Amino acid sequence: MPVMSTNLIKNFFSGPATRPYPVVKREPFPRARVRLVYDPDKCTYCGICANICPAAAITMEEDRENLRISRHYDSFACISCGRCAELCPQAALLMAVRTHEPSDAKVVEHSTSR
Amino acid sequence: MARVTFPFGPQHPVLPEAIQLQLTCEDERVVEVLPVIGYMHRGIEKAAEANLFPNNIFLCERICGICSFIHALCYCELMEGMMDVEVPPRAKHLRVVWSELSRIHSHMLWLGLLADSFGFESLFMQCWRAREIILDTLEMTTGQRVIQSSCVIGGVRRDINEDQEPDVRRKMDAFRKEINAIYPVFAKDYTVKSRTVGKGILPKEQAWSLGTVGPTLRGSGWDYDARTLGYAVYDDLGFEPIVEDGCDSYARMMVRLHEVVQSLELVIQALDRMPKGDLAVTVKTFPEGEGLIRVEQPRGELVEYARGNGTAYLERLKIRTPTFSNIPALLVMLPGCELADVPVITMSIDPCIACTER
Amino acid sequence: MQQVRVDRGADAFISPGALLKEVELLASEGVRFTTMVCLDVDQEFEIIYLFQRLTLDMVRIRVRISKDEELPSISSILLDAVLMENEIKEFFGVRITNLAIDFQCRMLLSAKSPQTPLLKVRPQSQSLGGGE
Repeated sequence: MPVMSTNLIKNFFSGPATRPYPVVKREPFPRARVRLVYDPDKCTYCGICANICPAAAITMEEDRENLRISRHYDSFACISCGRCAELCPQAALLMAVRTHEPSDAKVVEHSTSR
Repeated sequence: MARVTFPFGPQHPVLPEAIQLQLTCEDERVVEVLPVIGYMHRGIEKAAEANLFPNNIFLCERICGICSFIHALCYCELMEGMMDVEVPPRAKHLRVVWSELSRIHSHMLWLGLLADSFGFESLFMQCWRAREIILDTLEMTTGQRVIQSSCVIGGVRRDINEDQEPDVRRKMDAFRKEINAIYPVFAKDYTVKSRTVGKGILPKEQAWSLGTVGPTLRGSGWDYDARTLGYAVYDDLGFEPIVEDGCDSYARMMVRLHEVVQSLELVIQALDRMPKGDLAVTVKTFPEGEGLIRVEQPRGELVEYARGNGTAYLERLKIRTPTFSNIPALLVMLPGCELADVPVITMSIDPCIACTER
Repeated sequence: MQQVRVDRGADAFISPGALLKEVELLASEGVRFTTMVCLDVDQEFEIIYLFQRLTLDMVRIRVRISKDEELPSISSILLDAVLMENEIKEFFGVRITNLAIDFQCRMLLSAKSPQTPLLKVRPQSQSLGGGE
């Protein structure tokens, strides 16, 4: 008798291993690292996140005339490594467990100090 | 007899990635083969020179999706060696846990693809279902399923804390049940044996001289595993490289199958022995001079060379991936085989083309 | 634990003319090819050949050539070096002669991609263009 048949019989009675996706969604793990959430009120525009971002998804621009710093975050360039959230001294960046909603246009977040 | 040359790939149902084999056949028999690569070159070595050296970890991880953690580990160990950084013991143990988990998931993926390459679809599904347990464990502990990004220079970023450890052990037990069901099928089943035994012979002498590494080399009777050279905590865990003497596709398959079981034991062993303590140390220096490291990937030995000049940028980062040195083995394995065996033999070196071309 | 740092002084520096003899000698001892690293040092290339002994230790050989000099291929002795030699020829424009399988600088790059991408300092003659 072929060796696989015991597995096949077991699989036949053990129910599906998949889930009917759009109806039943898997709960993400509590420590999953999926989406970057940014809180501009806490941010001091120190520039650490822009320096260490491996994908250059976060960039900082200095406007010397008006003494302002603007920050740009391109969520499509982000690789969700979460390094910025770890190193942020103000905890203005956090990693969330839920994914982005599907989007049909490129979104770049902008924020400016003061 | 008339000779016919035709392309096998770059798009072929059995190949997960794009590689072309130009096969010259006489009737149904392959007489000559020329591998053609170059469909997936991304210039990672060039990009590594333009990046800050701590950011290269994330770049190195993206060389290959399947062995991503070990690429990051290799780069981090190399930088730590060049800067004389001592990694905390807990971080070393965690690195072993994650790199063995990635080895298991890579081998399970490969076993499934091998079953798929000779049309054993139910076994393919069974392997990938078992692999899901490992991916869940990785997501639970590191935060992401495939690209873990949990290794940094000086340690690791994530911890397997007391709440998670029983969960990890439970998942490992569940996986052991799955692998116990799969093991006899690969080892004894008639279909598997008739498609792999005696196919793609790589003689012992040639396996060495052609520079093959990893399970391809160990399937031909050489006991070389780069983990025995010592990195992370592999020296203390005490394991023996798995060697098979068959020199054929079946031997290479059995090496990988046994390695899955061995890696499972190594994960449990590393969890048992994990000391308490810090996860990472801060690194304040820059790499200087030259460094060379060899680590064991699921597909074989990975060699990395780096040259730093005391600044935050590397002068050169050279990555020799395992498949790069396994491809010449196809020049020996394929001639003489039947055309129908080409997919199985090509799969038996576990080709990872994204690795090869970087 | 592995020794990660490379001690440059311990390596053998060899002239390109003596390379084939040295590799033949090593090959007769059962040494196999691991990889090659090419470094771009101003007007010279420094090429490191890495071999592995049966005892699993590494053997390193360094060859320094000027950018216009020709380098003999070792692929006639150790066939698996051919892929790496093609890669170096493609990425740096090192003139490697007698390759066992010559991909004509089209192994990883295509006609439209940048030629010799890893070359930092162009040779004085400017005649190298990846075999164009």
